[in-house]
Amino acid sequence: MTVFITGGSGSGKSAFAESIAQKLGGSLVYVATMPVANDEDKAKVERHHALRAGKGFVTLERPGKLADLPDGGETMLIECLSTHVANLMFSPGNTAAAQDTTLLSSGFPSATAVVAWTESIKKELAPLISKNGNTIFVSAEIASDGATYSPETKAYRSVLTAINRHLADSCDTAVEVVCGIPVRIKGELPC
Amino acid sequence: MIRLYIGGAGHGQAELAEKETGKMPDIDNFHLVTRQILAQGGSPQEYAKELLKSNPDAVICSDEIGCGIHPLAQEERIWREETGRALCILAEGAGTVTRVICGIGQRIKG
Repeated sequence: MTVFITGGSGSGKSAFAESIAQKLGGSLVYVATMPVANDEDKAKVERHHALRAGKGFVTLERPGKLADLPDGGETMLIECLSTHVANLMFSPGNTAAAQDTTLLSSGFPSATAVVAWTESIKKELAPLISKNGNTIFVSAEIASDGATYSPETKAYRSVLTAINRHLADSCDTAVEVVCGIPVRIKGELPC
Repeated sequence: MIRLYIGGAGHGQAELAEKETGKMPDIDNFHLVTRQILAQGGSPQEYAKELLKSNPDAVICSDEIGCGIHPLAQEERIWREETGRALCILAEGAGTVTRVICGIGQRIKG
């Protein structure tokens, strides 16, 4: 089954996603999208490691690239799409952007670029939605603050919210985690 | 039991809390309390744990502040994250959790 999980910062998405993975069972794979650039990142990664300790996850570090992941019936937890999309759009010289001429010629942060990025990321995620076994996607709610941002940040917001809508539509179940409480948006949760 | 009311800014958490519980919230704007605690070098998560023990019948209202773009300033990021974690602790110990949207409460726990 496929599960999409969203929620605000510090809302308990990770702990909930891990509990869902454990309920689904099988071989547990955690795909980390976060690059470690400073002490703050390191502390965050260490907190996540501690959360997962003893739960039986094999961790794959995949900052900036979700291609070539195993497809052998695992229960795969991918965390987090908000970081992944930011990596792709803002990390200089990342391979996906450098190799995709559509993205380079689309005049970031134009509306054309937003569409090009969205389609590119959807294509990258497609095998993970249709893979054997279970996939749990963790993303984040980032668009409910009403603040005004630069065109680049607005473009990021547009791409991520489009990806979130796409995943909520494509997955069997969609959940928002609020203060650690799962609020079901669509589908059923594993018991 | 602790009754927790959360929601985006201006959604009417305190008004609904007062209507439902018959009293003013014991703590309103919990998200501003966490900011003050951090400014004084304290831990919002420890404060939340303490609150569950010391004031087990409190009515607490807070804005949800974690649903926007990752802030550039580190102290804003820490405030957002710590407030979220402290709210998770309160919600876990609370008897009821109500999410307020446009003045209307959605009971998500209890």
